[in-house]
Amino acid sequence: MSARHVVAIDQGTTSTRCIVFDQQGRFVSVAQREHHQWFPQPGWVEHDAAEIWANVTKVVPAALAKAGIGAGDVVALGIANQRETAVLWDRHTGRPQGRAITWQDTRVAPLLPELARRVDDATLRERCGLPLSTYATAPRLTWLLRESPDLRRRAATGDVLFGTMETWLVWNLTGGVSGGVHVTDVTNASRTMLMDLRTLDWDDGLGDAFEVPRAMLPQVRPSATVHGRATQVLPGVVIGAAIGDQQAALFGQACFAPGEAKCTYGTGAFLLLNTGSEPVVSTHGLASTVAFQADGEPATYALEGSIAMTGSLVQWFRDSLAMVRTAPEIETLARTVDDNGGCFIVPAFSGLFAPHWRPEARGVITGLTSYVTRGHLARAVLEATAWQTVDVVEAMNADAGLALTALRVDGGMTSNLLLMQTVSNLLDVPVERPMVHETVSLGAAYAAGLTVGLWPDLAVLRRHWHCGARWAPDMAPAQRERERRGWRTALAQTLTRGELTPPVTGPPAP
Amino acid sequence: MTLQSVERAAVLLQLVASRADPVSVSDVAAALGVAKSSAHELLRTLTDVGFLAQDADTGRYAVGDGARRLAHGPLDTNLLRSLTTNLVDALAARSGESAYIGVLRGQQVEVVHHVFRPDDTRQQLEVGERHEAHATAMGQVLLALDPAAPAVMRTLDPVRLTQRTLDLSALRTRLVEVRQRQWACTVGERTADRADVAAPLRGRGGIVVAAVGLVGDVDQVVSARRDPRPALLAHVQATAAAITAELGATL
Repeated sequence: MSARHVVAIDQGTTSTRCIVFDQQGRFVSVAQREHHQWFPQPGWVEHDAAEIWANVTKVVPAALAKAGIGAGDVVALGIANQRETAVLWDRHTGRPQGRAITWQDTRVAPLLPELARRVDDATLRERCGLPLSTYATAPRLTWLLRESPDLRRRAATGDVLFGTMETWLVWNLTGGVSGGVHVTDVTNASRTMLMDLRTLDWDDGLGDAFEVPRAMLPQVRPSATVHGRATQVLPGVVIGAAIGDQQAALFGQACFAPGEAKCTYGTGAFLLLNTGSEPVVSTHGLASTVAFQADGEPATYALEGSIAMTGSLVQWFRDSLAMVRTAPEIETLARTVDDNGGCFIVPAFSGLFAPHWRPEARGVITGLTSYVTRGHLARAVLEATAWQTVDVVEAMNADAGLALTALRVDGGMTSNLLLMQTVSNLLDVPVERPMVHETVSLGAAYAAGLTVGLWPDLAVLRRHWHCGARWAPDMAPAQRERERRGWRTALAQTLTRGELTPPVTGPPAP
Repeated sequence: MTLQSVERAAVLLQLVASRADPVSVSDVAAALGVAKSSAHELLRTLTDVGFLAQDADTGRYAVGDGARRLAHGPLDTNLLRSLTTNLVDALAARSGESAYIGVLRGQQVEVVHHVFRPDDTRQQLEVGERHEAHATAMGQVLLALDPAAPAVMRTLDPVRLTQRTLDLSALRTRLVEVRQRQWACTVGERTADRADVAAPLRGRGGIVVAAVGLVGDVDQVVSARRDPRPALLAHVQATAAAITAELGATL
């Protein structure tokens, strides 16, 4: 085994993974542990930050053991993480103050109207790139500090610290109560709603609006820089990168140039388009975000469109409808028929997200006749993911003023070949899967390897990208338009149900 | 194992499956009319092969995943692909050749997973294509080791695709070698200028369910003596072992 490896930690929503890559950026080994999901009330989703840290201390040695290497063979560590999740902890004991409130948690919805009166939407979008929604971190801090005057007092003096997951992990890796470094990176900070996209530092006006004291905030740093040297888990190894998971995937897909885009298909899907050195303020329901920054260099920006239900719709099809035993078998079922049989499914289970932003919408299945079988429903489930991708890509094309010419994809659902062909057919552009589909971890590893000089520049990383599979459009335009009309009709029907169902709390219309 | 013990095992499985609650050793001994020691031995054997599961707290027995899987039919190839993506990606990346997984479909091998050769040339996804099993390394692995192969071999009349395609008797000799070595290599047997190397993938119980392999130009894949290049063979064998470990744990 060569002694030059990079280790990536992917601290995700359901699990924490450690992946070892070699000097050519090739996958060597992986270890993974899931953590508990806490649902104390409807709409609340919490994680135990101490459990997640404990999992990090287990998966890293496990992945190294599988690779047959030791800490001495690791030249750098990169961290990619679930974004927008808020952790508060006591700087003196290192103990989390309550459980972490995750990005899926919607408890702050009742606060949003009041917050909207303090900062208008146009200012928010211009300054931090995000629409006011339950996704971003800042309203969570407002909520937490209003709940506890004690926390507020200790936060104001810097005795209670805030961080997103990468901040919590870096602090612990670098010693915690004994000298832990309190830092975040520009990509994670750009999801908090507290950072100015142009200055790349905390914005005092936004901090005041959300009642967040500056003393509790970590220092904002580039994504690829020496964040510190680990004293725990991988003693002596440089922490060379911290980066939000979706930005990490964009980087791992080598989308370094303006106009390059990737879509990661997991529970939900996240489409990011590199827009270059200036942020683009969206007028079509997308977020503007920092994509990457290396030490001493200007930041790169991206437009982001997130789709709430892709893999989770397949899970619903599997668990709630019991149509298949495992998620991959939906492809087997879908291939028992040639088309959707006229059936469309719009998974607006908790409203329509990007680019529509209609929280009152509800899911529909249209076109049901006695002709429709489980196979047609399976097709409609997969096509729902493809059509949602099309809607976000069209919004991006409109915002960026250019047309996407190819889409790079990654994530678990890319092993569904029928889905990938359908995405290509409906987008009418080629879809490409990279040879390493663990792009989140790979992006963190790339950034960390750049920091320590394992790779000299982006051009070298670009040469690491190889196409593992490619799908070219194979659908007649007339058929695509007919299908599009079916999808649009179904989409419109999600909105006519609003008065029949209870309201949900979600991001408001921009 | 006597035929009587097979019969008892079958009755025991029916007994456990018919009960709403897990059963104890005494329940089984009474119902089958056997000594507790025999009941215990039957229960332990069926638990070891996965047909029963023992509750760690109560020590009682219920139907295990292994027995449930019997009803699921053959391995779903889309599930197989999703479980093996990381490892087959790594095989293509490390070998520099196209990597495949194939399953036996009658006298043919069907491609169920394909990762492009990492040289950035334009390539076509070959999933769903079928090739004559006797003329490919994946096919020869499966004809040598797949549980369905003996029936296939009885009627096989190998089509001659190139000058190097094996006739039935040469194929039979080759399959003996493959069984011994646990890998196969063909050189120009399907297409004159191509060579391939493959090894078996095993599910639970060590049963061969598929083959993994790589295909490339003859010069790249084999030496002048037509042996697979050691590094490539090692990559294929390591990938097969890693996937087999994964499948044993999940399927």
